[in-house]
Amino acid sequence: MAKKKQFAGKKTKLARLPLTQALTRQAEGEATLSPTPRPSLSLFTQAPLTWDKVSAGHGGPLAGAFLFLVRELADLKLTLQSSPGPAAADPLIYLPDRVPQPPGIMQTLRQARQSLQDLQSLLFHS
Amino acid sequence: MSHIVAIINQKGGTGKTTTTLNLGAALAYQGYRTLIVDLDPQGHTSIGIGIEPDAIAGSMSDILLVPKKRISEVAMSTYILGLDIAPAHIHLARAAEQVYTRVFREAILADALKDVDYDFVLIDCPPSLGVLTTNSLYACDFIIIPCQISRYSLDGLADLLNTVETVKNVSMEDLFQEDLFRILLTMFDKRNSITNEYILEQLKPYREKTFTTIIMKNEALNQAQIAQKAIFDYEPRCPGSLDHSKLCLEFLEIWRKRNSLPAKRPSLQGYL
Repeated sequence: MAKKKQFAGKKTKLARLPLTQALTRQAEGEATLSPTPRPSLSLFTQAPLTWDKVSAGHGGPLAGAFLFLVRELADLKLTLQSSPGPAAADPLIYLPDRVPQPPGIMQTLRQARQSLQDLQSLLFHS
Repeated sequence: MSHIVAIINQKGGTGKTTTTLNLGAALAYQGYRTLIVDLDPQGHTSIGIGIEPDAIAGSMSDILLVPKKRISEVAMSTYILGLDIAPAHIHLARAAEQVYTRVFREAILADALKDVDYDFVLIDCPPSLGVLTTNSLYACDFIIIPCQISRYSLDGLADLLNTVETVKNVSMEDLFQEDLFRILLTMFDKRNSITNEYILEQLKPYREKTFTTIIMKNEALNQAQIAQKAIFDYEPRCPGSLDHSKLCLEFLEIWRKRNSLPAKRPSLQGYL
């Protein structure tokens, strides 16, 4: 047994080979033969994120894009409200308490795109 | 069209020559016309089958040095019916140095093998990753990697897989999935339990690319070299003979699956 302990941490070239590592992961059911692991599509498999955490870079690209867009829209809305013309009905921007699940974010982004298209159309005809 | 198999491991002493010679003999005894290409300048496969290097008219050196020279011009019969050999001479080492300046030097062997008429061509490679081994990799469509139960053999295997990836221009994943190679465990000694356990654990990810046949350490295989005979002709009932018979049958089974080979042919001799 003492002899075997001396093998600990001694890696062969074969063990360091990317193919060997991929095959080992595959055997363990963790990955396919793809050399680069695919990013997980699920952003929120753990506890719900707060907006502060998303601002700090947590939560993945989708949540980050969502927050960026919401803030840009809020800024745009404030700019429009401060410009001459009829006052907006609601100057406040509401965010939910927690970052929504990816389907919710996608739905919101689609609505935002639609709103921007409507805005563009309004500006074009005004 | 011949099926070309390279027997490679750049580590020396892993059993390449013994595997080439005895697998070649086994295939011939199974009725398959087989050519052994001795690409090791030491010429041990040639010597092992009874050819004296200094008594030959042409050798693999000529293939490398003389443009358009065909393998059929240097191939010669062995004492086994259906088994021919393109022998090697020590001059092959110098010839390998001289071709370093030639254009398409890695394709010389593939070109020379174009018109050969055998069922199988087995190439015994030198223990290095130089131009000779590169030529073998370029020409072959299947690789057998004899692997002795030692740590350095595993390192050799890793280096070889990297080289194959480069020469065959395939990714490691394709190399694995397209069923291009098999590892052959050789000189297995049951008494070396600690080493055996460690090496087999390291090879676990490659289990499906390892022959189930294991060539056990067997003194008769060394003695057959001295007698310059295939193991089947030296001691037909010894473990080394039985192991190589099993290897041949497993190899043919793999080959049938890969290439839709015809059904098993009758054996010409009763050894297998």
